Amino acid sequence: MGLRRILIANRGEIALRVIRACRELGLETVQVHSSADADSLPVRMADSSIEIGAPQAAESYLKGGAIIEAAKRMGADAVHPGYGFLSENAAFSDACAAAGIAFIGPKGSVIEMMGDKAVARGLAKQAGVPVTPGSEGPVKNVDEAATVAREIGFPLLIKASAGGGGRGMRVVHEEAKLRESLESASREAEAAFGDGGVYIEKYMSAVRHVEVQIFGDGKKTLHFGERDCSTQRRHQKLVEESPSPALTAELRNKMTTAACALGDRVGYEGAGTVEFIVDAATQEFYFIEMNTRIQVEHPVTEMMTGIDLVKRQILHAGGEAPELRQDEITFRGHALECRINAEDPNKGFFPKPGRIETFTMPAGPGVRVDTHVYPGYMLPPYYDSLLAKVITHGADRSEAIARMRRALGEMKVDGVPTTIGFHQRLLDDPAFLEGRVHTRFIREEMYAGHPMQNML
Amino acid sequence: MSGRSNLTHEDVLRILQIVDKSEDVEISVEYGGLKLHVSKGAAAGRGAASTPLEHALPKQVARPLLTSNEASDDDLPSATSTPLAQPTSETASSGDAIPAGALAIIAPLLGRFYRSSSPTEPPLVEVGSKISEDDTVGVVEVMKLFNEIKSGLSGTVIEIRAANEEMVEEGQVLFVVRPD
Repeated sequence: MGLRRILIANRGEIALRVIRACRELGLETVQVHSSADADSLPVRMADSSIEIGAPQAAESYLKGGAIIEAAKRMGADAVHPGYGFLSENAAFSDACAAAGIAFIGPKGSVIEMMGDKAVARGLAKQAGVPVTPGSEGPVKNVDEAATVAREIGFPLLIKASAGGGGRGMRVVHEEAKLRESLESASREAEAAFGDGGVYIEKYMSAVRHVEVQIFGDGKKTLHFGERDCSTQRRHQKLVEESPSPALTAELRNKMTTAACALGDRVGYEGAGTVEFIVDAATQEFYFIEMNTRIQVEHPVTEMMTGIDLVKRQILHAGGEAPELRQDEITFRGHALECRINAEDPNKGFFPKPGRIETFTMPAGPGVRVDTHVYPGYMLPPYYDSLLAKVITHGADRSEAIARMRRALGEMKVDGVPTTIGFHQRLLDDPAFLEGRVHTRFIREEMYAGHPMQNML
Repeated sequence: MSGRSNLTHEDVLRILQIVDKSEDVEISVEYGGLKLHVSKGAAAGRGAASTPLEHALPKQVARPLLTSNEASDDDLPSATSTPLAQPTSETASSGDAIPAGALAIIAPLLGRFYRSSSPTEPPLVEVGSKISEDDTVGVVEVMKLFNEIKSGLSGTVIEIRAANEEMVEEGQVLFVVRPD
């Protein structure tokens, strides 16, 4: 039942990435786009394109109904959602299926389970995956919260059950502030997600963010190693690498096993990522959440394993994924990704849209660039600031880093500020070189005392 | 080296060594037939509109962006203390004139304008609202980043010139205020 024509319900570099995978597989592509993206590279590269609405995502890339209509009209038999937008929208996954179109990702029920943080946490526990100490599920009232707080101690973190992106999240340092924080987090969660449920967990400082790439066929889950994404600002990743410089072989083994156990527990299908925080000092790890889609940083894993994850997603959706055993997935060398964003690192990584006047990409041995930018491209203000992902691979970490330094030196972007200079600086920072960064490193160390530190 | 330039290979090497020892620099040298452009660290990839030297920036989110790039880079210390409000005469390009004696609060950057801090909250200000300098009067979102617009002046809002969720240009008049 192989697929024939794939509709890409996304934009930017990931849309181009999917088009490339389709082309290699001999599949036709339909690119949906907003009116602002009519001149974009994915629209030009796809076999056909169709405009679905106004620039704002809510009026185009988030309109599931319009996308399904477009798929029907263009004769597409599958939809690839990319990342962001509708990629983790359970209703959209189910609506595609109901319309007889394959959604390239898990079915709605799985997305829904993993999208609810408290449910996902419960499932992780059942699968024997360590979770941060905290409440069993949403806390009912302040008395229950206080009981949990006394068990796990302060500081603690209040998180919205339906949440994401920091909404409905509070760090509480003392019991006196518990009621107030609980109520405001709940109110914020109610407003943002229509669900005021909040739960409590231990607040960890100076931890690393390490995630495991998995791929399931509904029966058995395979892992593709980890990615260390500890270099972040505003909870968003800037650099990802594999293997993680902070893991021992033993810890890596425990984490990949845990990730597969969670995948198996829900009968996971397709590509997914299980995110953990790691306390490098104690070598303890805790489940944070699972993303039921392809990730921005998937090329790091592709460079390490030589396996094309996007093609595998598409083949799996068409029932044609080649058999793969865990021992056939091998890891070679070291891979590193730097996200080149249109942001000014000296102004709090403030994003800036505009015309890209010069755009020279790096090339050469061990370098991969995923980008939708071309010279003269008008970077629109409506979407994210990602310009390009530069990925380097080397025999070991130092070669991957040396290649990244070399690649960033070759790269030239004019017209908007970029994070290139930030990355060059990071790659010379002893903390990064020695593998000592943690998720708040940029804010609390690298930009300590910077006037716009509080934006990071 | 090129015969058209008096810069020797050694000169160029010396320049590069100086660059190598410094952090966050960008230099452009044009001398005879020679063009040398080097950027490093935070100065790299800052975009054509920026100058290489970075100045201290204030804590507020919206403030550094309240003027054009050129102005903010050349003279940030004064730019940071400049209120968002612009005198009548300077806003002529932003559409309808500002009534005599009134001041405008302009959009500090291009983006989508929101009158409230969240979809469930009422608008931050209405026509007739009394505002003071530190009040947040609106929000502009660009590339998923939300920026509070500080009033920068005290007075009474007499006109609101942008609709909720409208795309606004940098420098566009959002509010007309009669100062106290």
